[in-house]
Amino acid sequence: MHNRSEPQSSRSLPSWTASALQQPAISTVAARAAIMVRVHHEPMPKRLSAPMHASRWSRRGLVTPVGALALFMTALATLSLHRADQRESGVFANAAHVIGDTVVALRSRAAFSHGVRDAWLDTMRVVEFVLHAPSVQTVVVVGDFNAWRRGASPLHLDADGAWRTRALVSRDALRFLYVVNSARVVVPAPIPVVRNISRLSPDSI
Amino acid sequence: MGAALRRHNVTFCTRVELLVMQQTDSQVVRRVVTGDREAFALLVDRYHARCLRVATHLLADADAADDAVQESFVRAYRHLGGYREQEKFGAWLMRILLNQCRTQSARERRSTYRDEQSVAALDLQRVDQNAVGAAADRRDELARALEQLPSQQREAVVLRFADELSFDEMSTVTGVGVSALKMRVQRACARLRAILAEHIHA
Repeated sequence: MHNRSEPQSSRSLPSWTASALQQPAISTVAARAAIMVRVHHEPMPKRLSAPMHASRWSRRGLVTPVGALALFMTALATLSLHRADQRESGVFANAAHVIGDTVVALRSRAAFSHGVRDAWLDTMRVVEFVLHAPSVQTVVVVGDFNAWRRGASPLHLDADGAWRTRALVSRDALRFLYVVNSARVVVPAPIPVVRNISRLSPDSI
Repeated sequence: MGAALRRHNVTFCTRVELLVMQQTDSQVVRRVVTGDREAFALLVDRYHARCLRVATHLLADADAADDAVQESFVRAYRHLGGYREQEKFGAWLMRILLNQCRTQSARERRSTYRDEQSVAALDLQRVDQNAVGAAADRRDELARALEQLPSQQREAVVLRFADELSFDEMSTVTGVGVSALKMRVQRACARLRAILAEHIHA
C-alpha cells in the first residue's frame, strides 16, 4: 500500500508510532451482530438506475468503438424498416363502391293506428369494399354498419390482388376502417353519396 | 461408508464456504441489492476491524468509535443502491466513515468541553496505564498527540499510517488533491514528532 518511491524522511513517523497506529482494533462478534440487527430493521436497498451521459460510457470502458458502431447500425436498420413499413401502408389503394340500393319496408301497428298503409324504416346500400394489397395476409373491414366487430366482414383475396367483400350499409353509417394483418389500420376512401334513391316505390323491393 | 459420507459432506461445506468467502465485494453487494440481506454480514466481517481502527484513532474514544462504525455500516447499507461497482467498496465505505466521524466530532465539540473533572479522569487513566506498561503509555501519548492535531491533519496521518493507504487512495476517500494531502501528512508528522519529543523530555 505504501508508495515506496516517495521520500519518507519528511513524511514519516517514528517506527513505534507507526506500529502503534497500525495495531489492529478488537472487532467483537457482538459489535458486528449489533450492526446486523440494525440492518434487519432497515428497508431493502434499491439499485439506483440514474441515466449516465453517453460520453462517460467510453471513458468507463462500458462501450467499445465496435460496439458503438454495431449499436448505430442496428438503430439505422430499425429506422429504415419502420420507414419502409410506413411507405408500404401508403401504397394500399382502397375504395368503397355502392353497388345498389335496397329498401326495408315496415308495417308497424303504430303506423296502422295512424292510418298509414306502409312506412319505410330505412334504405340500405349494398357497398363493395375493395383494398388492393396483394402482399398482406388478412384484411377486415370494421365500421358502424357491423358494430366494429372484426370477425363480421372479412375481405377475400381475388385473382387480381384485390381484397373484396360486400355488405349492407345504412345511409348514416359512414365511419369505417380497414384492418390489415390484424394490426395495421388503413384510413379508407369515403363511401360515395348516392342521391337517386329518394323515389323508390314499395313494388321495387 | 458413513465415515466417508461425513467426510465428503464436511469437504463440500468447506468448499461452499470458501466459494462464498472468495466472492468479491462487488459480487456481495450485488447479492445484497438483489434481496440477500444476510450477505451484508460478509462485508461487515471484512471491514469492521479496519473501520474500527480508523475511527478509534480519529475520535480517540472506543465507545464513540464503535457508534460511528455502526452508524457508517447502516448508512452504507441504506445507500448500497448508489454504490458503483467501478469503485472500491473499501474506499466507498471509508468515505462514509470519515463523514460520520467528522459529524460526530463536530457534534461532540458543540455539546461538551473538557472540564476539570475529565482532566482528572484522564490523569487517573494515565496512572492506571503506567501500571500496565510502557507500551500502553506510549499508545496513550500517541492518542493525546493525535488529539492535538487539527482534524484535517489527523485524518491524513491516520489514513496514511493506520489504514496504510497510498496518496491516490487517500485522495479518492477524502476528495482532496494528492499534493495537499502530502503537505498535510508532512506537517502532521512534524507536529507529532515535536509533541512526542516534548512528552518524552517531560
